[in-house]
Amino acid sequence: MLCLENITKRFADGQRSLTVLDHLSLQVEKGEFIAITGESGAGKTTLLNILGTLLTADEGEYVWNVKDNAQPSTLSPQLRNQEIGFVYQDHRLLPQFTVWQNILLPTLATKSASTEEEERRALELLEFVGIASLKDSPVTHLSGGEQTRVAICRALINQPSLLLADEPTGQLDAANAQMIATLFQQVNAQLHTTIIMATHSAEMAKVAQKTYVLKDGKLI
Amino acid sequence: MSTVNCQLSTKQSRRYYRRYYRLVTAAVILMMAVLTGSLLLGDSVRGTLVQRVSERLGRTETVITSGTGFMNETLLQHPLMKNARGWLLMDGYVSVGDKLLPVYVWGTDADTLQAGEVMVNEPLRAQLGNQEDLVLHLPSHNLVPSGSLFVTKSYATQMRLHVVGVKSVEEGGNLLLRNEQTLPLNVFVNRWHLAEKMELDGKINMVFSDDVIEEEQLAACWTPEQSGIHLTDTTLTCDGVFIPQNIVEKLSALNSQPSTVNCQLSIVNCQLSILYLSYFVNDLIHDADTIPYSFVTAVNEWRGEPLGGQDIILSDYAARRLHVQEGDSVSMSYFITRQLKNLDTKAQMLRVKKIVPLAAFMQDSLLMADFPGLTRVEKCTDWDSDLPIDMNRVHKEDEDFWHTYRQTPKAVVAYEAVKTDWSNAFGSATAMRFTERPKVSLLPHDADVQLYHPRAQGLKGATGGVDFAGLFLSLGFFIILSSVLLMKNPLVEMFTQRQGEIRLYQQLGFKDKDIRKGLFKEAFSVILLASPLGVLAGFAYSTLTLWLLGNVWSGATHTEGFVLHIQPLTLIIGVLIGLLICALTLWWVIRSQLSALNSQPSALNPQPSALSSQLSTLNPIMLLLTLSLIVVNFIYLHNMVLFIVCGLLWILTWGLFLRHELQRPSSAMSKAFNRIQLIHQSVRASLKQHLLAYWTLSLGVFTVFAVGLNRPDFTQALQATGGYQFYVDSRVPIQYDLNNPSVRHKLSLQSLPDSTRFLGFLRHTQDEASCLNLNQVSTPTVLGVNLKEMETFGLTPDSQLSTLNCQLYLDEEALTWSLMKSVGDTLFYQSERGDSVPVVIAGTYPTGIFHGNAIMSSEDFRRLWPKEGGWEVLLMKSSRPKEAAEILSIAMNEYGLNVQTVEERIKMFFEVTETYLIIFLTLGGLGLLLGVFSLMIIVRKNLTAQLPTIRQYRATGFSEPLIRQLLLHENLLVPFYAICVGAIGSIISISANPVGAGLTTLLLALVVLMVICLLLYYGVKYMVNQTINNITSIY
Repeated sequence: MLCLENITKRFADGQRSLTVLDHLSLQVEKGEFIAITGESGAGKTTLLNILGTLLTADEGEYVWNVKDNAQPSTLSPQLRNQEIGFVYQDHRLLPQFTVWQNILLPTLATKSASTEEEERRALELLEFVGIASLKDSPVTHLSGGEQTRVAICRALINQPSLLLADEPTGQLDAANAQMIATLFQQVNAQLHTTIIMATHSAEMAKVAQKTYVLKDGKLI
Repeated sequence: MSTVNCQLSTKQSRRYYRRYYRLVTAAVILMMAVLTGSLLLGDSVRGTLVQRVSERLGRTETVITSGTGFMNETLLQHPLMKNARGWLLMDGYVSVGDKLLPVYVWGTDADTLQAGEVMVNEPLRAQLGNQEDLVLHLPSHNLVPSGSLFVTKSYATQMRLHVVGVKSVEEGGNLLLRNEQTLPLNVFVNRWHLAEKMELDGKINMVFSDDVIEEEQLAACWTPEQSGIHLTDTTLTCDGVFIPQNIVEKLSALNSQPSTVNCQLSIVNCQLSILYLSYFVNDLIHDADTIPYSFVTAVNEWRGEPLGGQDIILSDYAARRLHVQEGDSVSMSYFITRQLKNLDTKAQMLRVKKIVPLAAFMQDSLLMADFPGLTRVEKCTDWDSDLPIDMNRVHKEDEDFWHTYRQTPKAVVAYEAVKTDWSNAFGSATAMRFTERPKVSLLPHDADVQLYHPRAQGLKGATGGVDFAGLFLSLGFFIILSSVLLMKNPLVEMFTQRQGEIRLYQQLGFKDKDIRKGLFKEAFSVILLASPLGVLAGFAYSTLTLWLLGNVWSGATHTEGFVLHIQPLTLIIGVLIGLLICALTLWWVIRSQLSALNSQPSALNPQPSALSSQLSTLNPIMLLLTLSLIVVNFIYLHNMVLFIVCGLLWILTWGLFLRHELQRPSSAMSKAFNRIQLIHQSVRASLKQHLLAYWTLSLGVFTVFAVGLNRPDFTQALQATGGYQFYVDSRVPIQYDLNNPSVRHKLSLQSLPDSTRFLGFLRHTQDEASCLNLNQVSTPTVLGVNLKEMETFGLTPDSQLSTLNCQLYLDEEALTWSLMKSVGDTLFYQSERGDSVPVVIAGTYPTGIFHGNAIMSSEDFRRLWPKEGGWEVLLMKSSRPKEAAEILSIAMNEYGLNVQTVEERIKMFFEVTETYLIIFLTLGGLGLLLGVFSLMIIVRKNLTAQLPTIRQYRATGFSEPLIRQLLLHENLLVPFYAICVGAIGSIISISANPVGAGLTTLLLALVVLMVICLLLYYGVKYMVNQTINNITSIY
């Protein structure tokens, strides 16, 4: 589905140049659930941002066989929005909106209003993650676990082929983390969504089909 | 922390947060500039007015005037007058192009001026342009007052003069006795030349002394001779023919008041005083015999023999011509006047008591009065008189008599029989005779000679005048308010950003009080450092405003040359007030920030309160009520105040609507989630801020434009003009009733349309009490008229007030603002007799054409100033107004008439209000711009707070143009809504007179509004772009 070859990413740090990813390669097949672990600062988020086309690599090739054979470098934000879903550690939910509105937010990127089909899907997702009763609640009233579930719903509302999750359980307790891990498994299994998850939790990594360790800019 | 460390950390914090403190500094400078600048303006205008007093008066401390009469210049020879100058002062006018310029004519004894030469002051020079010669028109002044019956035909005279120089301010060019800031138009001519032209050789009517002279001192150096009163041991005559009434009464009173010792003593001396009153009678008739145009003198006794009511003593000449003997009846007819010179002929039947030789009359010179134009001519046909003398009735016999005997009376009649008919405002006797010189002293005021100290009056008027400090503080209120916002907003933003720091202090164990104190110290030190810059900016602000007041905004001040006057105390007060406002704002911001930090975070999705829900149900009703009120007022009432109320209701209604709409959950707006909900929800999240922005902007726009564009309805003022179309100001008092057909014929006004009607006013000139004068006024100019005529001008006499005192009426604005008095208060006017007479303010009339003038009944007017008898103000109406005005101006061009339409006159007063409103609009607009600028600081803060949202929008796939659009809408929606509502509200408020402000002002308002909108739009757009670009750099 997607392939990273010899990806290098450097960041300027004053007069020094810091190489975060160093000729990194990765092959991901459709429907896979991959976990990437590594120490803090290893470059997991950078890798996810490159995968999510939010960052471009300094060197190397990123090949992605998605609709119309579009290349990541030319991927428009709208198409990215359609094809990739993001789940962040801090959820990045908009506090001024309700659960329902946060989930439907990505649908407004390409048109002025959500469709009935999208709203039906939002409801299904809410039921799927088990928080349908919180539909009209302000997100500020939710617990951390509930917020992560809303973030997952939001990431899935456009039925993306790829779901990128950056430390999705980083702020959760063990029970909630386990619940979210199971949820990711269900998403992967039932919705056939390819998932790449960055985590430094070994427990969380266990739910993935493959686990890579990011060290010295390379995946081991 | 040690002091050094504290100072260090304060300094470091100031440097670190310099981005915010720069804005705070700007706000402080602005506030201090307006505060201290306004106070400086007050001092400067006051100082300039005080300076004007010195410029107007020079070194003069005492002014001695002779009323309508004159004084001999010999008065100046007294040692007390060693620092005094004599003047012959007259009102005149000069023609420049089509304009008649009213001027003060100062006859001066300065050596530099020769006959035929004139110097002018700088303002007049500016009006004259390159004109080197001028024709000066003057009312005819001579010793016999023009208001009396026996004067020459000519009421005005002219002098052709060559301008030889300009009298500077330092040389006394702006000499003026009235308390006005307006620079006078003065001409200075050779006094002897002027006196010669007026037949007033050796006469002056004004003395300026550099010393303070008191009444007693003047009484000691003044003699009756100096006022042209010739008092010998046994006789009293006067240059002005008529002996001032005061003197007649004073000397006659001694005969009738034997109750006091003094008077009893005087009786011994004066009991045999004889009053003489000479008159020019039309006819002496007996049967078919008539003697036309004779001098006859009334006396109260003839050679020790009292004359009874109907007695006449005829000269043998008259008896012979009339063929009468003692005991026969003779008819005597003569002209009489009641008001103005409306002549009636009256006849009396008299009984010939005695016939005496003409020589007997000739022996008594007091029987012959010297009337100019009548007595100093060779032939009767040369008589130059204002009276309608029919020369066809004068025959050779009359000419022969005149050739030999001139004004020798042909008869003597009883004084009491004719006293009422022959007396006038200038006196009831032409001579007096005593058996011995009267021991009673005549005082200066008996001869209308009065003194006053103009400097004290001038300084009082100047220091108590219009308070420009208060005025400009009010006009600059919006700038001060905006400065507070401009200071508050960056402070709020900075303290919000420093919440972590504050929390850290709290966690470290600092008390809130100490944290507040520390933050206050840090920010206040910036305020203190900015203050001196603010004071400097205040100097610049006041200097610029003074220049504008003297030039662009001179419509409000009617003068120029304002000078900056600095009072250190005022500056200190201004700075202290500014610091206090800054300190309170700062303290409030710090307190509220700490309170917000300590309290629970507010709900991001506010729920409507019960009250709000109730109000929202009232919203449609309020909107309906407001619209109904506007329609009803627009169609029927046209009430200006009601329109302003409607405008405010409009803002309130739409404000409540906005509040209701923002409180409503966005999900209630439509089923599908859409971008409008996205914007709505974001606005809703900061409801309080947006509502604050709404009220501030809508009320700001409303206030600035509603006040700046609102004009009192011009047509309302025009309705209170009694249907008269022209206001005419005459430099020469008009002694005739212009409604009288014979007078129109006499003055070549017969071609006036028959429908032309005049309403004339007597005038006693005092202070200018209209809005054109910045000085405080104590006694406004008085117009005398029949009060019944004034009912059509909205003046209704108050029947409740006692009629014992004299009463006057003032227009509402002059009463409130120029005099700062109210109905029932008393003003004190100096009468011609020198008494200070209380005059009660009995009521008001709408401000209009008489603005600044007090209206008094003509009866009261004559009691106070009997000699001021001619019309000086006229109102005219006609079916063919333009034609009538042209005919009047041409026929009476000698009178120096200033004919203006009532619209022009009202506009002249409205111009002052207009200018103040334009100043308010300009400064208010500036304040609004600053308000918008401070609003943008809030927008910046909001955008900073929205960074996660923007990031999420990006991450979710929102394109950058879409994000920009959403952010623009979120931040512009409420401000534009507020501006629209405020602007429409202000349009509603000016509906009474929508175009009253004039096209230029409306355009100015439109430009201000456009600038505000553009500034807001581009400012927000710039900040949105900046924010988004910054986020791009993060990735």
